[in-house]
Amino acid sequence: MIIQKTEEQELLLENLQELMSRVCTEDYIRTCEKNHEQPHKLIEALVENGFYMLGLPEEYGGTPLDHLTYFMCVEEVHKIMPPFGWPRALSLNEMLRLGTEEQRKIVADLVKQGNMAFSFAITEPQAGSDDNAITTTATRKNGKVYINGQKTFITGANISPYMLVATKDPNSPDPRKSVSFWFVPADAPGVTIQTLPKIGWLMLPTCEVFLDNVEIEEKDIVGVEGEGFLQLMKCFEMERLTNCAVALGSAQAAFEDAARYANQRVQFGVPIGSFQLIQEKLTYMAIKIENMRNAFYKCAWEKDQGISIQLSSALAKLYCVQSGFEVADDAMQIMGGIGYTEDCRISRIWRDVRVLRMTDGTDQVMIHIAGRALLKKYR
Amino acid sequence: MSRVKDVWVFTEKQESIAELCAGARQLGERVTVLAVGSRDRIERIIAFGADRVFYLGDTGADRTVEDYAFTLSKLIEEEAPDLFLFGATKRCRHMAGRLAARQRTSVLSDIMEFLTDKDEIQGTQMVYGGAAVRTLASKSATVFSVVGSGVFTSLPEDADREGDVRAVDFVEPAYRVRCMEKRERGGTSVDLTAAKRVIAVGRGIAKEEDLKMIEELARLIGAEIGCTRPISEGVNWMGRERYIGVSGVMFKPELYIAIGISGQIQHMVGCNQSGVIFAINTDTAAKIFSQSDYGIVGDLYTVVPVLLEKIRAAR
Amino acid sequence: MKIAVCYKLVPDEQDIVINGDHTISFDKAEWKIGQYDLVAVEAAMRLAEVAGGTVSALSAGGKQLENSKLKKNILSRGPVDAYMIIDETMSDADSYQTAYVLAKAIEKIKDVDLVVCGEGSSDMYAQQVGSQIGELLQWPSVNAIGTITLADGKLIAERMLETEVEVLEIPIPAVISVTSDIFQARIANLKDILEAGKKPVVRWDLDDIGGVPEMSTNVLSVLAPPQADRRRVIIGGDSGDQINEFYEHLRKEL
Ligand SMILES: Cc1cc2nc3c(=O)[nH]c(=O)nc-3n(C[C@H](O)[C@H](O)[C@H](O)COP(=O)(O)OP(=O)(O)OC[C@H]3O[C@@H](n4cnc5c(N)ncnc54)[C@H](O)[C@@H]3O)c2cc1C
Ligand SMILES: Cc1cc2nc3c(=O)[nH]c(=O)nc-3n(C[C@H](O)[C@H](O)[C@H](O)COP(=O)(O)OP(=O)(O)OC[C@H]3O[C@@H](n4cnc5c(N)ncnc54)[C@H](O)[C@@H]3O)c2cc1C
Repeated sequence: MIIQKTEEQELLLENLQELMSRVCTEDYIRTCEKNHEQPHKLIEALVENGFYMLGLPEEYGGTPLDHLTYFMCVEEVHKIMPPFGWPRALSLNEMLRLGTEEQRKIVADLVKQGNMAFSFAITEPQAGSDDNAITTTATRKNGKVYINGQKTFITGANISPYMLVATKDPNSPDPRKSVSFWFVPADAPGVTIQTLPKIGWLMLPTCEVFLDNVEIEEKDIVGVEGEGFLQLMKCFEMERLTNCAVALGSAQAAFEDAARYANQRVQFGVPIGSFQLIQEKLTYMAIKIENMRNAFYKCAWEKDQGISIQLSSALAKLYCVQSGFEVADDAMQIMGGIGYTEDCRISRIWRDVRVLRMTDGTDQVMIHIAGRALLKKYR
Repeated sequence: MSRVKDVWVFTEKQESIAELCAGARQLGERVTVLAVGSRDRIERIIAFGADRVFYLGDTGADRTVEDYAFTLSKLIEEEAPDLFLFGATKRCRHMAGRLAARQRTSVLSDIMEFLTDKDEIQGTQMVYGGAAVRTLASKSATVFSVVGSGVFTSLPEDADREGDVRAVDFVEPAYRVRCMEKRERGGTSVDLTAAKRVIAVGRGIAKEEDLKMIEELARLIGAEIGCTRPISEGVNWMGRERYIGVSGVMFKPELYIAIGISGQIQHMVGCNQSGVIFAINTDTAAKIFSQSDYGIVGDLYTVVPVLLEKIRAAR
Repeated sequence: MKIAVCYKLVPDEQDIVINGDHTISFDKAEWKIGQYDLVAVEAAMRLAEVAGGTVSALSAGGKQLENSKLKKNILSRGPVDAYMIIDETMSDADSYQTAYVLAKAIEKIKDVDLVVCGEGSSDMYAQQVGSQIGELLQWPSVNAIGTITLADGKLIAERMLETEVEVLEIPIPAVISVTSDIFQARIANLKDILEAGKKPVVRWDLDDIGGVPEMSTNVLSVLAPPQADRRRVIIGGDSGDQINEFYEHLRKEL
């Protein structure tokens, strides 16, 4: 594995950095957060400059690239921005792989214009970590399909024209083959969406979705009926790496702010950076960031080499989101009271990184996945 | 002593003629102004300190200032002045470059100080965005220089001065650019260099209408308003004559208040000779603070309204 | 239309180190493309895109020009190829030498209709090279161009002077220098960057273009300016009391 970035990667990241600095002033970020709206100006710029469609196949207007470079871009964006609905390329890729021609076209057209084409509706009130416990159903009547159930914590449900809804067949003999995904218009009769106020990710709404007799067609199935989770396994691995990238970018930003501040802030007549207790924090923060980067880049690289990342992606996600939060937390400590105010972006990073330990599988679930896989290796 | 005898001056702006004439008198023995435009100007040019005026003629529908490059070039060939000074305008810069190229030499640009007591002409200029000062000596027979604005102070106008006037024949240009239309450009012609107090704003100002608050503050304390380059060239909220820095105005007011300015060197070189510098910035780490006498780490939208209140109350 | 756009590599001024004796050092400096030159490239590209034609990048300089990332960088901004005159004397060249070499290169490239330069180089910022190239080629030249279009084989351009705007008709071939805000330099995307590596780069040395004249200036010194000593009384927040403290300092100066 080559650790040094190629010239092309460096140039790509420098251009992305330039784009980010043109659009995403701290003021702009604050305004979007205050208004609880997506950063449309940024999204437009990403679309216009060919970044929004990175990682998507050329025939849909995208620019394919390797996973490592792709995730470096995600990291770069999140040095500045909290999650805002991009990237989705990898889950989109799965959709483009599994979907019908019509579904693909809809999705690709929406994404090309900077939309979040669909939300991912799996979690239900009684089915969080245990996603096999979902009870939303798809029943057939008079040649139509009817969806019934409740989804919760659905990111972007109210801003995406479609939902990818997971349903379960309670009568299926094989529970591993009982989950299916449906492509449901978010404005179909019977869909009710409510947002859940939360302490972070203020640009990206998270919603409750009620599905009451939502009528769709047979053709709205995505992929093969009953193969739901198996089909989307890869997509979940990619979502883990996205979490790593967000955690790393955010941690890097928090670290840099804290290190600069430690040089500036004078207490007891000297810059606080001259205290070894502060230096200790900075040192461990730097080590964590380095390890995060190594674990995560390696995982992305493995993916490019065709090596399975089933285990390594769980390890990397667990490590990155935990360490990312620890770094943000220590950065806040170094900043003192200012770090807890809204003027200081560390406070935002702190609350936004925290939830990465829940999303796309909690820490405990990562341990659950990794633990079993590790034991299996030495059985 | 100086070998500089003949100093020529070319500039389009009336105000800078006086400054450049004063400079030319200081640097050389005989001052010649190359004048384009209305003939009425000549008397005043002499009053400003010119010993000679070469009158080139007036521009018109079919003749631009640029078209005189060939005429000037011919004069240079014939008379070989020692030093040729140009005003710091776009037009003058371009003319200086063209004329110098025709004499196979470079222009000493934006010179802040001239040294002529050696047997060569030296000048100093800011380079690397103000990070360094470079001292150069020109090796050419005629030294071409664009003089930084505000480097020389005009002498009092002397209506009794006498000078020679020579009308110069126009040399038909071998190639030219046609000017089809001219229009005024928005923006007043404020001269920041004359201001004793200046409030400068940077990108910390979120909206154009927020400048009202700054104008009010400026009015109360009798200050002029200036800005950083992005405020003038980026968003066009202020005219170009108001931006301060290496590529804008450089001056030394007594009081300088920087509001929402990060303090990049390109800006600071324009104002770091100010008497006392105040800064308002939300970012503790902003570079401006280490270059200020008094700073407040605060939001200008909080600080400025309070200052306004206090200043009003104190009156 | 065949357009040549000139650019200069400059040390990143953020990386300048001031030595104890006030001399400055670039040993640690990263090199980059002058920011105004990136704007010029954009102006050239936009013109070529609407008027039809190709853009070639052109630079004269020292060994930094060999840097392959910087080559890809300039070519990722749109030019179809790049011409470079590389010689150590060019890294300290004055404006006349630079203009001379670039003019010779333009003649050698052949059939260039328009040369576009930036407002100034971001290191020396003398704003001279465009005007001088024009004179050396004996082509009309103008600076401060803020808008430009092509009509009937002539350029129609607006020239942004201090207090007036001139609308000009410029016959080609010509040399123009554009303002720093004529356009915003483009962001290169992945495709541009990948293609950049495949575009041709023509490398000439001084002999190929017939040498360079002597410097017309002697550089006597380059020194960091003396820093005025400031009091640096910084008040750490904007509470009522703190603003009052700030005001008290200000009041004494009014
Ligand atoms: C901001 C945000 C966005 C989200 N976006 C989406 C989305 O777009 N689509 C979607 O479908 N879902 C989404 N989710 C839901 C997310 O995937 C779940 O929150 C997550 O899977 C955990 O489920 P839960 O919250 O119900 O917690 P629970 O599963 O109830 O877990 C509670 C605690 O018990 C622990 N725990 C559970 N099982 C075990 C075990 N076997 N061993 C040890 N400990 C265990 C957990 O780790 C946790 O600490 C989102 C959540 C958030 C907060
Ligand atoms: C060759 C060259 C020449 C240049 N010449 C010049 C020149 O002559 N003049 C010039 O000015 N620039 C020049 N520049 C540009 C210069 O490098 C800087 O980009 C520019 O000065 C920055 O302007 P700014 O301070 O307004 O903006 P920024 O650097 O963006 O700073 C804005 C500041 O406002 C603060 N702020 C934000 N919100 C608030 C608030 N609510 N309250 C208080 N503070 C707030 C921020 O903390 C920040 O420090 C030149 C650049 C180059 C390369």
